[in-house]
Amino acid sequence: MKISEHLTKAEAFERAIAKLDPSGDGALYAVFLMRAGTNRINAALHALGITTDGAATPAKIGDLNHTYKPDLNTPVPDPLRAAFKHLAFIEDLRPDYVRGLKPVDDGMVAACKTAYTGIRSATDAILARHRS
Amino acid sequence: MTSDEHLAKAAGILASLGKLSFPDDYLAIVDGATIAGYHLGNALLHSHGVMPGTEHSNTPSKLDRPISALPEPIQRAFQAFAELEKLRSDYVRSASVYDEQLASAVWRHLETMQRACRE
Repeated sequence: MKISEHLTKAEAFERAIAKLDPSGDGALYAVFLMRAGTNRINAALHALGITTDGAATPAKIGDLNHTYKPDLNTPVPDPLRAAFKHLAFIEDLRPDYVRGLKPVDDGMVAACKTAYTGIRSATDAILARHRS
Repeated sequence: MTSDEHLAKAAGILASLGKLSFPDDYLAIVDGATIAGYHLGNALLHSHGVMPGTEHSNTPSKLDRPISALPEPIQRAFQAFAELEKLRSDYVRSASVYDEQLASAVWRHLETMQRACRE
């Protein structure tokens, strides 16, 4: 997908997140944070030229569904290393909080917000450089 | 998780989805509907003896058998779940624009799954 399409999707998920109670709606809160973060990281990867915004080629993969899938086939670029760790943290919530029964408490909400802020910070900087 | 626990989790997710609305939140609703489908689907797999509560299937595409090999009473529910999974692929994971038939399709598929859970 094009950078602009990823950002449109990220913003749509962020608007949905704003309508939810992070604790009471914890399962969807975690999933939507993951979707928004994945789209922002995909946009940044395209901007850096690491992945293609079109069909995958032998040299470059297309969009990531997750930090681990499909395989990036190259080291995570330094400017996105922290963002990948933050997104992996959110992805790893799924077994307990999305597919499982664990309730999202205030501490986890704070950790999620920190992780997503980290994703935004890294990807916003890359996309701002790409636009200039 | 037991079948009842999956049903309770699905009910919570459906309540969360009630805070969102088409067309503004169509991406989130399609995505969340697939999560609700996960719990409804696993409730059916457990209650019909396809899988014990210690095992789970993420989505129909990752199921260890074709839908036609599932017990007959839950096949329609899994066809509906497969449709939800396809909507997620088409709308959430691909470039997409809102289609006004999407809302009725999502709620229809979820209702098919919920009905199977009630029967």
